[in-house]
Amino acid sequence: MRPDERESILVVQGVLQDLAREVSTDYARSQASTCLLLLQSLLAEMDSAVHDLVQDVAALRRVLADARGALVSLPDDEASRLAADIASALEEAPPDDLRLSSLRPRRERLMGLLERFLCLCEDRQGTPDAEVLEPVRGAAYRLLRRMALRGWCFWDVGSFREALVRWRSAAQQEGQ
Amino acid sequence: MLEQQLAQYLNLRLSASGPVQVTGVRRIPGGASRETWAFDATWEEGGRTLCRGFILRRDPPASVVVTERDVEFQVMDAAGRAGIPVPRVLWLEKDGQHLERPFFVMERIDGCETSPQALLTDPAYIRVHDRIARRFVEVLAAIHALDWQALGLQEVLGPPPSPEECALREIQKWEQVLEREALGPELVLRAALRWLRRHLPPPAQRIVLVHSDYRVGNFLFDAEGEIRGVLDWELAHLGDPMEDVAWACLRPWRWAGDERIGGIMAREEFYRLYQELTGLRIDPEAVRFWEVLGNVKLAVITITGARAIVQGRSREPVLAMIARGNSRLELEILELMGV
Repeated sequence: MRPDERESILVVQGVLQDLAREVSTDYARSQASTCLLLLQSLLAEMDSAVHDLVQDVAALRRVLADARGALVSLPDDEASRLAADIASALEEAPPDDLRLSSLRPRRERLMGLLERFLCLCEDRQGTPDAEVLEPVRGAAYRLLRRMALRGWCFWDVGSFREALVRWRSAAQQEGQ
Repeated sequence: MLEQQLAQYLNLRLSASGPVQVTGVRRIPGGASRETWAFDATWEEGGRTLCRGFILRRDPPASVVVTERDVEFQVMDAAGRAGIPVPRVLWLEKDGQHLERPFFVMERIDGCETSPQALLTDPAYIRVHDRIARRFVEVLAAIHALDWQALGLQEVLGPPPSPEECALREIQKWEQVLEREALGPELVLRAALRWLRRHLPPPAQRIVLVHSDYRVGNFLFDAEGEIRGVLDWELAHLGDPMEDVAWACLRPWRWAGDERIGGIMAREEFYRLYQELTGLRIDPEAVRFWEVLGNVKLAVITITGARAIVQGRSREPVLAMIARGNSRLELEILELMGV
């Protein structure tokens, strides 16, 4: 259906831009600008939202499978309980319902388990268990970094600093 | 409506011989923790017509931080009395009797800027960068030199932590807020809090008044390069001066998009001048600890805003915007943790 979601949001953004020019107070203009940026963040994430969630779920399942493998070699109750909870979550089939409202809770549940695993790893740094856990701990942090890299930052997009970096880069190229 | 309410309120507070006229009521953009309004008032007093600019700081329906306006008011009052550049605070109202919600009123300092964008791009301010950078450090050193006991701040801020307790107390404070406000798993933040407990810095060299949000973007400056007013004291507490040093260095305030602190000075210069002025030694590892905690704190603040949006207590777009940008904070935390 046309206009699609992206095109429709662009229409709303255009209206907001027009309205922002009409309003007379700094506050109203600022609110309109912030709404424009909020819509921009939705635009940036919308197209790949399902793809990203499916990828996240798959990556989380892989890391958690390794985490379970490391946990079962530890002799204590906390590690055993977490290993059992992970095993239970991994028994769920990979997602076939691709609605955001279905994928998000799945990802949240896996993230919750990874959180427990990471907290356990951090609590056991400096103990003999750390050596067993370290490879998966490293993989978990690498996954979190990849996820975070996909995100964006209000302080960059909402401010002028990206423009400054571009200007500086352009000036340097001119200088060369 | 607000204009009339303010006029009625000022009639009670000013020694006016006739009705007070309030004009130019306008909301100031920004400030996610309190509503900020500017207005002008005109009144007759002692046979003269007086006209003054004021700022109203009113509690919002929902905020990103749970703060005590009383603390902000009293700390600003004390800091001002001790010579720190702050807007003069005038009246504090702890209930909604006059303007529906609690608020305080302070003087307005005109002819100044707060915007980092103006500081970094307006030629009028670019020419005084060095002066502003120096004043930025001098004012921080002055805050950290305040005799908080003599100023009575212990009664306002509670008993000070011991030098050994400062870091742990701040970890616990933000951990509690996270536990209360989190909307889902917060892997990076919870892991970082554990990392912080394992990497506690050395005891504070001195217990000082920590501003807790001291950064470029939170002070009024003029075209002469003078800092005329330090703002946003609502999180002030007694603690380790390195907390403020690290907060000023956080990446979100590196407005030029490079490594310069606040976009205006090299970290080495910031450290050198601060050490020279305070006699305190800056341990880079301690600053790293406080930078991790600072980013955690910032992320927790955004989560508080997100909860207000999700629960329908706020429609402030800036709260929604800021919370959606947490991933970069997480990346910075992971980077600083070295994992």
